[in-house]
Order: sequence, then C-alpha cells, then structure tokens
Amino acid sequence: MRIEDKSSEEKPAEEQRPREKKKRPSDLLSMLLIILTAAYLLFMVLRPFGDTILSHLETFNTVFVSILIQAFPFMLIGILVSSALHIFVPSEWIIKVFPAKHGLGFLTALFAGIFFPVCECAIVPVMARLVKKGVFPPIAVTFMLSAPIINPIAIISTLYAFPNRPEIALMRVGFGLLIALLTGLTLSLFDQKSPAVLRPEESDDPEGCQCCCESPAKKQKTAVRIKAMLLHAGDEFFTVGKYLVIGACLTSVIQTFVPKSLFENLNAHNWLALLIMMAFAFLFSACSTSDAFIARSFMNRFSAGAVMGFMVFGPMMDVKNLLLLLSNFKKGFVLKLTLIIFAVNFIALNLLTTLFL
Amino acid sequence: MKSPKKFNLETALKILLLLGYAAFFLYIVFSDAVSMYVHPRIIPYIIFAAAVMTAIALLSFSNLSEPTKKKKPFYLLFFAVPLLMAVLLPAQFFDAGSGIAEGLQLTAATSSAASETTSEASSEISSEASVPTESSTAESAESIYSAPESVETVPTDSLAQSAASQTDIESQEPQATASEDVGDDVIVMDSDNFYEWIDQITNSLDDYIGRKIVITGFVYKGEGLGENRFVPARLMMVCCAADMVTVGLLCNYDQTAELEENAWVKVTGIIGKSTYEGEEVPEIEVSEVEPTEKPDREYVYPYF
Repeated sequence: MRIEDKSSEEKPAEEQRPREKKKRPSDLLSMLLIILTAAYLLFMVLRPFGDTILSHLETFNTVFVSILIQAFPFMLIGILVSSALHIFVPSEWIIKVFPAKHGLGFLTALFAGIFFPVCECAIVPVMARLVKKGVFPPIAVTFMLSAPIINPIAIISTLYAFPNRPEIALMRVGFGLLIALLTGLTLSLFDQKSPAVLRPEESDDPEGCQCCCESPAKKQKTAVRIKAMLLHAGDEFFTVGKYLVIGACLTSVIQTFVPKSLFENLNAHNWLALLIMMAFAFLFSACSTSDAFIARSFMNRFSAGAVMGFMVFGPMMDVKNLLLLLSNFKKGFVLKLTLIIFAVNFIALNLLTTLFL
Repeated sequence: MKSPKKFNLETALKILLLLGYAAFFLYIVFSDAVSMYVHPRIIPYIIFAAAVMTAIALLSFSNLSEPTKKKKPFYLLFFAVPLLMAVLLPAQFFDAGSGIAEGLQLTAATSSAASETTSEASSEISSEASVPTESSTAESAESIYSAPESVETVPTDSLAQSAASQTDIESQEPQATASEDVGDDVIVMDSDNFYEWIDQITNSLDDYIGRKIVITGFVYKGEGLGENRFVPARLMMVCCAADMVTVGLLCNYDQTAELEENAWVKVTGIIGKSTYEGEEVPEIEVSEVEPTEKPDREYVYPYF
C-alpha cells in the first residue's frame, strides 16, 4: 500500500482503507450504477414506443454476450501463457529471446506470433507480461502488433475470404509486419522504460500476491507451481477481464446503434477511404481471425487499398484492445501508443497501397 | 474486517462467478444455443475455458480463509452483470432488418484459378472418405432436400456435426461437377452448404450455367438491386454475432414486388449470368417461389 503523506502513517489502518477505496472501484461502480439506472429509466420511458427499442436492446444483449463468449476463452489462453511465463520462465531467458541490442529483439518479435496462433484478445496479457519481465517495450509492442496478423488462422481465413486472390493475404502479412516494425522503431525513439509505462496499481498487485506466486521462483514441485500458475491466472482474469467487459460493451453499443451502411454508403476515395475503413475497424473491433470476411463485403464499394487498411490496422488497434491495454499500462503510454500506431498505419498504408495496389 | 481470517468474501464471489461462467459456457454448448453466439469452431475453446475456470475456482477454495485485501470487490460487478444478462435475456436470432448484418455479399472474385485447387483438394478428401449417401441419391429436388433437413433438426454435438457436414460438402462438390453432363441433378442450397455453394458457383460460374437450383433463405430486397431482383439470403456468422454478413445469390423474378421482405422462401430456378455493381455474378432465373419454414439454425457458417 502506498502512503501518500506522513500524517496518514499515524492513522489507524481502518481509516486509510475507505480513502483508498474511494479512489478507484467505487468511481467505476457509481458510473456503472448511473449507466444502469439511466438505461433502466430509458427502457421504462421508451417501452410504450414498441418493438424497435426492445429489439435493439435484445440485439445489444446478444452481440455483447457473443463477444464475451468468443473473447473469454482466447483471453484465458493469453492469461495462461502470461502466467506460465511468470511462474516457469526466468526473466533472463525472456530477455535473451528478445534482446534489446542491435534490434535483434525486433526480429524475434515479428515472427514469434507464428508459434502463438491466437487473436488480439490473447496477445495483450502476454505482451504486458513481457514488459513486466523486462523486455524493451517497443519490442513487446512490435510483438503485439505482428502476432495477430502473422497468426496462421488469420492467414488461412484471409485466403478463404479472397479465394482467387492470394496476393491479398500476402500483402496483408507483408504490410502488417512492416508496419509493426515501423511502429516499434518509432516508439523506441521515445525511449520508454518498462517501469515508466506500466500502471502503478499493477506493480502493486504482484506484490500483493507475492506470497503465492513469487516464491515458486525457488525450486518447487511442479504441481505446486501449476497451482500457483492457475491461481495467478485467476487473479489476472479478473483484472484484465474487467476491461474486456467494458470493451465488449462499447463495441456492442456501437454495433447496435451505428448502422454499418453509414460506412458503406460514403463514397470516398484514396486517403479518405482509408481513413474511413480504419475508423470502421477501430470502432467495430472485429477479430483478426475473421475480419477478412467482413473486409470482403466492402470490396465492391471501397478500393483494395482502403480495405487493406481495415485488415492491417484492425487487428493492431481497436476499442477492445485499447481497453485491454489500459488494464496494464498507463493512460499516457496507451494514448501515445495508439496515436503512433494510427499515424504509422495511415502514412505507411497510403504509400504502400499506392505502390502495390 | 476485524477478524479477517474468517472468510474472504472476494474470493468467494470470484469462485461463484468462475463457476457461473463455466456452467453457462457448458450449458450453451450442450443446449446448442451456442450456435446463436459463435461459430462452431470456437466450441473447443469454450469447453477449454470452462474447464480452466472450474479448475481455478476449485483451487481458490484453499484461499477462502486468507486475509481480506484492502480492495472492496465492487469491480466484480463487471462480471456479474454480463453473466446475469447472458442468463436472463435469451439470445436472439437476427434478421436483415436488425441492422447488424447490413452489406450484402453476392460474390467471390472472378477468376477461377483458386477454385480449381479447391476441387482438387476436395476430391482427394472424397477418395479417402466414404461416399456420403445423401449426395449419391441425388435424383430429385425433394430427396436431396429432405436429407440435410433431418440432420439439421437433430441437435447433436455441433462440432462433430459440422465436421461431418464439412466432409459431406467437400465430397459433394466434385461429384456434382462430375455429373454435370447428365444435367438432371439439382443443386440444393440449405443450412449446411449455403456459403460453400455460393463460393463454388461464383468461382466457376460457366460450369454451372443452366443448372437447376433450389435455395432456401429469407427475402432480401436491398436498394440498388432493381425492381425485379431479390436475394434469398442467409446471415453468415464468421466468428461471433458481432460479425454477421448477409450472403446469397441474386434472383430475377417478375413478381418480386409481391414478396414480403424477410419472409422465408424456397426458391427454384435456373442459374444464369448477370452483372451487379460492375461485377459478373450468377443470377437465378426464378421459376417458383414458395413460402417455407424458418430453419432451426438460422445462420450459416463458413467452413474454415
């Protein structure tokens, strides 16, 4: 527990607790309560107006639950990997695999995703663990950005979605890797050190459970370690999952109330079309393993370059990812990262698509 | 708080939530409600998640007597509310009017290079697998039509079913192409092969022109289709309910105006050729439209 001023040292612990409490959870709680109350009132007021509102609510509910059903298992996989790294793998090994010197780590980061075939929901907890283990943050970011795109399932689904045009899958992977690397390099210009980017609360948490999971670093029986790993995964499930729930909720609200035709009927060209497709990818948070099929439904109305923007930028950053990142990193860092990812994508895709498409 | 060693409320709630989610996950898998939420290929992951959650919950029992942490467990509401929503409000099948799956997808791309490799690959599969009975008795529209429906109404384990229907579809395709010269077998698009047929027909359109086809879907009359055209469409779930795509084949029918939007119909017609938004697409010359029952599984799932 952090002590903010000297005077509080003398106060009994009971008095400190309510203060700490007020800061975070109850803020969120009151927000949630207000939203729920507002939603309920709205529901009561709109009820007489009939089916359209009700069907919207049902739509929202189905989309929301469906995103959670789909994302929780993958998030759990990510968390299990993250916990396994935490319990079983010494930090020095990981840093050896992702060496900061001579940019070798970037190379590992770019291709490590092949061996980790999950979508972006699972990647954030793993990437956060890498940073906590001392991996240079830009390298971890490169890993996070490239993994969902180089993921074999994503590649196969892209090939299926564009059955006669394998070059689209090829370009998606190529552009994705290049942009992931460029983003990582750009970020490294800002010289981010691990402790500076991680949320302070998060560094509290491992201490909080130090009793149960830091000790297995010593030699212990595998069964004990597996138990520690699962318990740690449970803790992480509840810290990260909260943000996933908020992200899924936001995504479902957008999906339910923002008509997709709004995007389809915009008759835009070149960079504007690219911008629109990127905005669409960000707001609708489609999974990288399936977004190629959605991309294809835009093929008739948007240029291939703009659709490429949807498929490359989408897995790297969207509403869901943004919130997952917030569960582990400081707001300032997440904001900076989002802007860099966006800018690099926009500029690079503009150039690449005019060159290749 | 004064005797923190007694009972840890936070851990207890976490255990409840984990078990609750695990139970919900297993329930939707075994009641087949899962098909309204996610693509069947996600099912193994869901079962895995349920197992992991149960394991974590069971292990957490030993922590029940640990001292309570400073944090109040309000944040657990973020997990309780969705679980309640999931359990209390049943899932809803969407239709095209729900706005969740706007954006009609009529075509694959136009060259036929990839489809050749597809049929090569699938003929390999069919030589290994035993010949499915339902496609070998392809004599009349009725006989083929009734066979897949019986598969559909039995909610067996969806994973095994989808795997089985995949091999069926893949081995069915080359056979249909081979017997094309005979010209008397009818393509029947239903829940199990809807997207696969669209893919196949669009990619090698010239091989299919003149073939009789029966399509079951809901009436979709988008703007821009024209007065006499509609699409007997299905909603395709690519991954989860958040990414639905409307798919179908274009139909030319002079009484399109009389069709009710979103009504389920069985369309019989002959495959022809037309253009839509500058692309060459298959178009069905409709001979008959009859109303039909909505299928048990309203969505279709691509096969990858």
